[in-house]
Amino acid sequence: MKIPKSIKNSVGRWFGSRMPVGDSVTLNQRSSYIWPTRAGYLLLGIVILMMIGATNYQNNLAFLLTFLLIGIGLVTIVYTFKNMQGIQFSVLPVNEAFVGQPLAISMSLTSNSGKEHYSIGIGQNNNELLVCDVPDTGNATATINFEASRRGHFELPRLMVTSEFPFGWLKTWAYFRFVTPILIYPKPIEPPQLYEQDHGKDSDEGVKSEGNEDFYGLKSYQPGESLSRIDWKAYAREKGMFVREFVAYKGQQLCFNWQDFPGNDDEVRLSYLTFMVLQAASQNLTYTLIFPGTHIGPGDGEEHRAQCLEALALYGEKVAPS
Amino acid sequence: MNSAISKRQLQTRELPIIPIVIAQQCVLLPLYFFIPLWIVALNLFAAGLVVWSMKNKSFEVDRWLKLVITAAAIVGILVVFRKFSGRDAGVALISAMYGLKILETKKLRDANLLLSLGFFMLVAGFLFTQKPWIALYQFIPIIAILNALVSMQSIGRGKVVKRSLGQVIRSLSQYLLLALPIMIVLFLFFPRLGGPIWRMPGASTAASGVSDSMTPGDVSSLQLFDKVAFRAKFNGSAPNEKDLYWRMLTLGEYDGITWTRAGTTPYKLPESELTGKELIDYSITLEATRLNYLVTLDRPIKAPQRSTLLKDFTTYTPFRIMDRTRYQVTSAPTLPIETQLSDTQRSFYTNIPQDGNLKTKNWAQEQRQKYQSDAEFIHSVLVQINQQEYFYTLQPPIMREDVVDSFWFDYQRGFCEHYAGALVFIARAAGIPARVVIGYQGGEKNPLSDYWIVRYANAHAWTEIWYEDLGWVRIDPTAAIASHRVEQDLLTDYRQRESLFDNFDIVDLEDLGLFKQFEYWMDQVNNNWNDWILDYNSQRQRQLFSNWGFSKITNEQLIAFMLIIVSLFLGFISFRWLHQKDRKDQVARAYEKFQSKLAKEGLVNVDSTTGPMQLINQLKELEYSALVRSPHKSVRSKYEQHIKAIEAYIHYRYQNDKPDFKAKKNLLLQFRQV
Repeated sequence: MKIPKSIKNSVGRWFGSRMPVGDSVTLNQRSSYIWPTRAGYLLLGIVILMMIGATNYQNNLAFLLTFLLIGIGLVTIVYTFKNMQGIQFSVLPVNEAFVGQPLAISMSLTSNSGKEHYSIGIGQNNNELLVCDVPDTGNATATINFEASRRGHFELPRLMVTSEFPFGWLKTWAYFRFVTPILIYPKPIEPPQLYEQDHGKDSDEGVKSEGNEDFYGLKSYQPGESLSRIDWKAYAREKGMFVREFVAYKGQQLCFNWQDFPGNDDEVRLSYLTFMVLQAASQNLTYTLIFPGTHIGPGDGEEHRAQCLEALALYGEKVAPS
Repeated sequence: MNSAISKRQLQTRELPIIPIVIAQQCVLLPLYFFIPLWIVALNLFAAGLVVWSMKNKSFEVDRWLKLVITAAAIVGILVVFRKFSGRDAGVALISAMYGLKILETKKLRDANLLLSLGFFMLVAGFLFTQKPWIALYQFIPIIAILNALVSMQSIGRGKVVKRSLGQVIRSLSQYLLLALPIMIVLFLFFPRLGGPIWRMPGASTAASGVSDSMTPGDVSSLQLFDKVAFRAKFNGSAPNEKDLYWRMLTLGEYDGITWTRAGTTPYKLPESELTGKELIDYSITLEATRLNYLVTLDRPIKAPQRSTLLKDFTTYTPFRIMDRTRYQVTSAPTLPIETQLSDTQRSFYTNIPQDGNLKTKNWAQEQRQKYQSDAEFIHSVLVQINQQEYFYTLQPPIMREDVVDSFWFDYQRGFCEHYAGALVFIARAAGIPARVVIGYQGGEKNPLSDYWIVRYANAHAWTEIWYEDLGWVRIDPTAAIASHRVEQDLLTDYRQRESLFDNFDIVDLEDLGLFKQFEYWMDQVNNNWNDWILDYNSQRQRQLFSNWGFSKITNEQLIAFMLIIVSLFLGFISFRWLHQKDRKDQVARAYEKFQSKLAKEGLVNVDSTTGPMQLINQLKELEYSALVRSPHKSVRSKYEQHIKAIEAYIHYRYQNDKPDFKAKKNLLLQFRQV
């Protein structure tokens, strides 16, 4: 069946307009929908049967029972709604996430109504729901895994909250969206033959970078290099202007440069850089990150790491106003 | 902290068997009184098996076992009832199937089916009895079913599943309490059809009491049933109990053994005959009689709707009374009937079989000669009954041939049918038109209310003798029996008969025994139950609405009213629930009251964003400026008190993780002191 786009849009707008958004969301009945479940239809059928029986036998007690059942059914509509009202969903601080890894979003469910809420299902769709009770005081937590396929800013898809409590005859559901800044970092990929590409050395010699510890060799002086490193002896012997090259082994300052991986796709380069940043950070090294438009460091520590990862995640994206 | 489980887990986990079994057995319990005991045992056995296999995981109910049990149930029912149709066999069958369904309840869907069908099963009980107790009982299975449904829906870590019985009842009663008004509205407004859609055979209960023929010689023991035949309510004062002769039908034809009805024609009483007569208005609620005749107080002047007044002043309905029926009648006890009798009628009402009962026939004809008039003759017969050894007994000897002879001359003991039959026979033998009237005599006034209960035990037969100019005159020969010749146990056991004889007791309201009081009270409950619940039909529905000023209401209007009222009700409760922004607790309310009090005194400016800290700041500024003006201690302490209360509130609100009842109490006290 084809639905004209204009209708689809307006339906979407209508749904959208009723959908609460934010990093802490409370549902109200305006944004909730309700419909009978299969068990509800079964009950409806039985009520109709009872009604026919009562009419036929002119049995007023059967009428009373049937009407009581209808009453309970109608009251259940209100109760089912009520059970889902006044729950506050707050997204908890998000762990860092990389492309290709599951993004676990934890949220806390607290009761605003001072009442308990039972069997609240929450998830991305009907088939993958988590069900929990929300206590009257304190909170419940639910963790939902999302798939992050792209680096950069991540927009959480809408979530469905649903409940069939108390009797399973009616299902009420509502949608909402958490609007919270989430950054997805590039997928970390170990760069192949990093050192051959770099300087034609085997990788088992260790990570080499410009440092100031162990003497490694000489290379031609390039303007701007520290004068202290000039091999004055060689210069005195008129062999040319050489710079004593030192190797910084682990624990030393490193520089991760976009230029180190020529001929690779941008995303792959970012992945390599991410890997290197993570490696370096996990070993508390000092490092510098260089890629087009960005030069961070040298630096170390959590803040530096976060800055680097953010830059990598946002490469090529306009910086979102925060 | 609660954490979540996945929905699949919720759906595939084990069913809460215990609540489901409880709900099922609660549904079946009333039926257990009406179905064969072995089906009860089978159902309980099946329920036991399921509970057992839940407790012992190693034991599982085998498929063959299920099959054997089910087959046994079906075969058993077929053997016992020889059919599946009809009320008893049908209910036995569905009870067995419903009971055994628990063996097949493994998934959520099975359980839903079992529980929903439970509501339908409850109706089956109404086929057997419609007493108030079964209606009240319904709440128990309903709560049990709802509880089972809730248990299935709960994830179990909340407080729902492990609740005490009291909590379950309290929380689920909320639903019932709110559903009750809806039920009442639907019950009142839902349009009723005039008749059944189809009729099922069966469901027959023997109605005793009055039948449309009378064979006194056959009866060796008359059972007096306490069952209610009808109830009567007088608009105005009731006649004397002695005069309560409830006429049902007349028997004019006699074949020597059995008295039967004679064909008669409809009759319309001319208005003129009613002038100057005392009229009695009353309504009667008649239980099912399975006869075409209504009961009226002797003598009805007009037939109720849908019935016809016949020439013998009985009221005939074109259909048998199969249900409890209520009608309004007016009677004129002193109304003379048929002052003129045609020759054919005269010969009809003096007709007796040529042969048989010759002794009585001759005796009657001889006796008649001794008296001037018919009335004197009849009186002499009554005197004979009174003076001679005539006994009233409920265990008369069986009289096969010449019934009247053997009663009148040999045994001289019998009950009303014997006496009435004999008197009519004697009168006819003497050439006086006479007939037997049967119906009820007397009744028992419910002292707690204003209606009379007439029971089967009040069934009575008397006579009508036709006199020139007077018409048919009621003569009750049974009443002529001397009271000392009424068997003593009758007087004590069957007080219903007391009023027939001279010395009867009047029930004194003040001396009413507890048991009697309870009996009357129960009867009144029953009566109201019948009136308002069981008898509410399309006719009463119309009547009710016309009483409210809506005469000629259509079914569509009824439905519209019904829907409007129910939606208003639902709208009201949902509005109250859904729009009350976070129901505030006691402390928050007290704080708000305190805050608005301060605002009223003009001390602070409060709007919706004012927090408690801001309030403190405002108060501090005030305190400062007040102190600048007059550095008095009382000024200071006044503000200090307010500030302290707010600080305590902040502490209670934001720095407490556990509810602290002592702090709460103190806080409320502090706010109140302001």
